[in-house]
Amino acid sequence: MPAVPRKAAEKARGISRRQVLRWGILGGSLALIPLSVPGCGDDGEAVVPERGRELAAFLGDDELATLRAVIETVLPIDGNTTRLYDGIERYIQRLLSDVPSMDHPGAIFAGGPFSNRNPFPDVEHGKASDVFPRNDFEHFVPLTRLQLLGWRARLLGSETVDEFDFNASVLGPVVGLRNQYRSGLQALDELGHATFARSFSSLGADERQVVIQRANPDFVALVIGHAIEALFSVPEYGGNPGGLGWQFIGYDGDSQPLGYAIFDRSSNSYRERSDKPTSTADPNETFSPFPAEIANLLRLLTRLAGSPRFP
Amino acid sequence: MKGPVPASSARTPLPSRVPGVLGNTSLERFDAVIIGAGAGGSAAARVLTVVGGKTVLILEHGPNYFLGLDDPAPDQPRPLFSNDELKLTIRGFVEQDPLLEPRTFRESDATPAQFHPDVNTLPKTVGGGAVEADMKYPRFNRVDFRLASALEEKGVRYEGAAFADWPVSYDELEPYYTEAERLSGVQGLAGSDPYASPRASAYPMPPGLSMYVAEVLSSGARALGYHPFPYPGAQNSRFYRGRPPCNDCGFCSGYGCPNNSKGSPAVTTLREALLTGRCQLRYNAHVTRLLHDGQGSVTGVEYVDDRGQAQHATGDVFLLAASAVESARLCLLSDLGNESGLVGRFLMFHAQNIGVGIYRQRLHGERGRSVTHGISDLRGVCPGGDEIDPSMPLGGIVEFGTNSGAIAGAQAAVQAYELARLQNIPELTLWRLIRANVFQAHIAVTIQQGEDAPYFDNRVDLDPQLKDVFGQPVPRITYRPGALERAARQFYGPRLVELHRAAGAEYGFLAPLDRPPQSRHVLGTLRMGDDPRSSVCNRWQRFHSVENLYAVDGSVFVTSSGYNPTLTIIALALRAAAHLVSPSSPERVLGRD
Ligand SMILES: Cc1cc2nc3c(=O)[nH]c(=O)nc-3n(C[C@H](O)[C@H](O)[C@H](O)COP(=O)(O)OP(=O)(O)OC[C@H]3O[C@@H](n4cnc5c(N)ncnc54)[C@H](O)[C@@H]3O)c2cc1C
Repeated sequence: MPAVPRKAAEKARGISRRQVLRWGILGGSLALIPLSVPGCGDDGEAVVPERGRELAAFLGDDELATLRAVIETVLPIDGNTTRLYDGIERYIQRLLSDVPSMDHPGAIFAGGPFSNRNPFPDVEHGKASDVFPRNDFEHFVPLTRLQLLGWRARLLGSETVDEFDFNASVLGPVVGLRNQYRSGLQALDELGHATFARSFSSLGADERQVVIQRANPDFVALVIGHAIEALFSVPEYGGNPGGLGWQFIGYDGDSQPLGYAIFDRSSNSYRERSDKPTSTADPNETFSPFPAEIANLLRLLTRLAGSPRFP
Repeated sequence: MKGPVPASSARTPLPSRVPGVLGNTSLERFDAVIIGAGAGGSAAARVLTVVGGKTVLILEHGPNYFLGLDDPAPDQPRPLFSNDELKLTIRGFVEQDPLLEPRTFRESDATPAQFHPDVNTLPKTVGGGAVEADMKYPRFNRVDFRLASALEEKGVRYEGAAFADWPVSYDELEPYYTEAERLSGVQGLAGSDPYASPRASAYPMPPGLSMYVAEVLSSGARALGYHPFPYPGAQNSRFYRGRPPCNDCGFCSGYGCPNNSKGSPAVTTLREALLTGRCQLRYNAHVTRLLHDGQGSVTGVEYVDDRGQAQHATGDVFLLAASAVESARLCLLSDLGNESGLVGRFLMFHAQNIGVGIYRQRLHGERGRSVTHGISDLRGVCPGGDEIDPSMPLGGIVEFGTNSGAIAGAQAAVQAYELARLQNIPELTLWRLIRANVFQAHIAVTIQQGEDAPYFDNRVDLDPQLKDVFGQPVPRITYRPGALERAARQFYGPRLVELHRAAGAEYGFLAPLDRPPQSRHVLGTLRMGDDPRSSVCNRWQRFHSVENLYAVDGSVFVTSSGYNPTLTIIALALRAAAHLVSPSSPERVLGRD
């Protein structure tokens, strides 16, 4: 008798462990927020890839149109945002299409140590040099045997991966991301037809909202999760073109090899960057109060956290 | 083992060209076999090879992301780590994959254990968990090593807690702390923490730049009468032992270092061992079992190599360094060393209590070394660290931290937005919340690494149902906070929040407890002691019942103390290995390049 009900276990297997861990690193500070679980849980047929076709674009044009419509619906972005949406679409398509294999790294782990976005420091003079590294991030890291097993199961589903049945009887299969997308997008189109007699992408904004409310919340959470990853990951994964996502939130992204503390060999000490100091507030920091709607939310979060708390 | 050979190697060894192997690939016979190339294993390897002249084989489960680690050229190694949040903290570049190696968790024997995607796993890679650490490397207090006696003297009791004195004192360990700081390259300011126990020498390097969040929280701390100090950390603040100064790139905790300025085990002790020509490291090599003759002697180990093939290795002595959970599990899988019935017991983390503050201004946590300052005022010991302070529960050092990750911040915004939708906050859209970047730029945390008492029932054993990809039963963790941890949360929780108010935060609250706890400090399970009935390993970390088996990782800890543990893991491993090399005068091996 499995100790974990099958359905629950499938859900659990869908959670990215890092989603949990990350807050551990930050300090568990947002554990008060119930985790929305991007995950599996649908019992659709596994998509078995044809040999040799793994690297072709996985989502077809119609599916991409539906995906785009979903993203625009669940994450409405103000302003001229075509490039951001393009990036999210490209990121997801690449994740699903560029499957790693024994002789192909796929698009899982970008290389290192440096991109070419920041120069080397000039430690003789304690300032930035004008020499930039080559971009190592573009060269993805080949996967080990174990990483391949895990990532192919994640992408293609555990049924398609030899050696992967060791816990299936207890935890159920791992539903691959390809399958989750294909069936999730199809289900939305079907809902669109059932509700408004049209495909999801051809609906108006209000109609899309109606359909999304009825859609599988796990799939919606999956898409939002990937959209966030796309917007704020290093551009080499396909989202966040030119660091545009970072610009929206005032974030620098990767800073190596320059960093923020520039060593000066002549004085044997550090210099801070005047534009981006380490130990003080930014020169243009305004200390202005949060806008009312953000303040309302923060008050709510604080209240839900119980005591001790302030204000 | 044979006697020592001269420490200087005759010629500079060439870097390995054999896939999956680093160091001297031609070695076939080994004085010692080490399981796990983490903090403890690497430190032991360094002493055995560099000073002891022994030949050592290290078997490491994880991949190697330090290209040229065994190449003596000064610009080596070249890390594949980077300022890449997706790769490191979302996709788990060096994490144990829960699909391949799941773990289960329960709070007590009364409830069934459930699969959980993250039960206190540590990164698995050449260099071990500390490759991803931001390497806050404080020492323990003198009183920690005689904690049971100290509590008794003051008449303090915590229901159910099985405190014991360590079989080693602070004063005995002090020279090894010094050595661990020297080899790892620790920055810090002696005398700045009034609660620290005495040290014989200055830190190898002065503190680097402070982070703004640390300045903000330090001002709050001072207003409350606390004593903030620069956190000791193994990040270079100078050119040191062939590695450059840290440039405060911002991606420290949870990230491998792209420029080797972080003194992780890989680029310090392990690299030095590999460069002797007496060390061979096989990575992507997962040890499945220790073989023994049934009479107290280990005869070899079985492992699965990078192609999935079963392999065998042997040597004279064996050192378990797979981290507290995995080392204990290997003993259980091998039916070895458990005459006391204590293998896996007294599992400890740190009782992390976390105050959260939200600030008007941007705290730019993406610049700096994750944590640069903290306080020991809430540790629960008297100044000088010789006695406990009975007016408060045992607590722990408090780190002043924040969040450097944009994806993490936006994910929190998504989760917060879900809550907000239920409350119908007008004007708030998801995008507006994401753009405000509250949970990355405006958040600060006071993280207390509180003492976690040893309890008999808190433990790791083998799960009866789930298997790992190698077909072996996975670790089942049974853990719940006890009397001490509950009292400490009650007492310190308000103080951790108050600190934010004093520092000028707009909002402050205490984060709820995680289940399973999210601590990455994993200790106990092969407790050391003098009495074979109440401990698994002896004072030199040798198994009481196995003549040639040692544990040199976090598993041997008797108590958890209230400080980050890794410097102490390293100091203990150096000491155990020194004793192996030179039983009559282990300190002889210290200070040798
Ligand atoms: C994000 C993060 C931040 C941290 N920050 C700090 C900090 O600031 N200060 C601090 O003191 N600590 C910190 N830690 C904790 C620190 O990493 C651990 O305390 C330390 O790594 C434990 O050392 P160890 O020798 O016990 O085990 P590890 O360093 O984990 O080494 C064990 C090694 O054994 C290998 N292994 C396991 N099983 C097998 C097997 N069956 N066969 C072969 N090899 C095996 C593993 O792959 C691993 O490389 C942090 C950890 C994390 C994850």
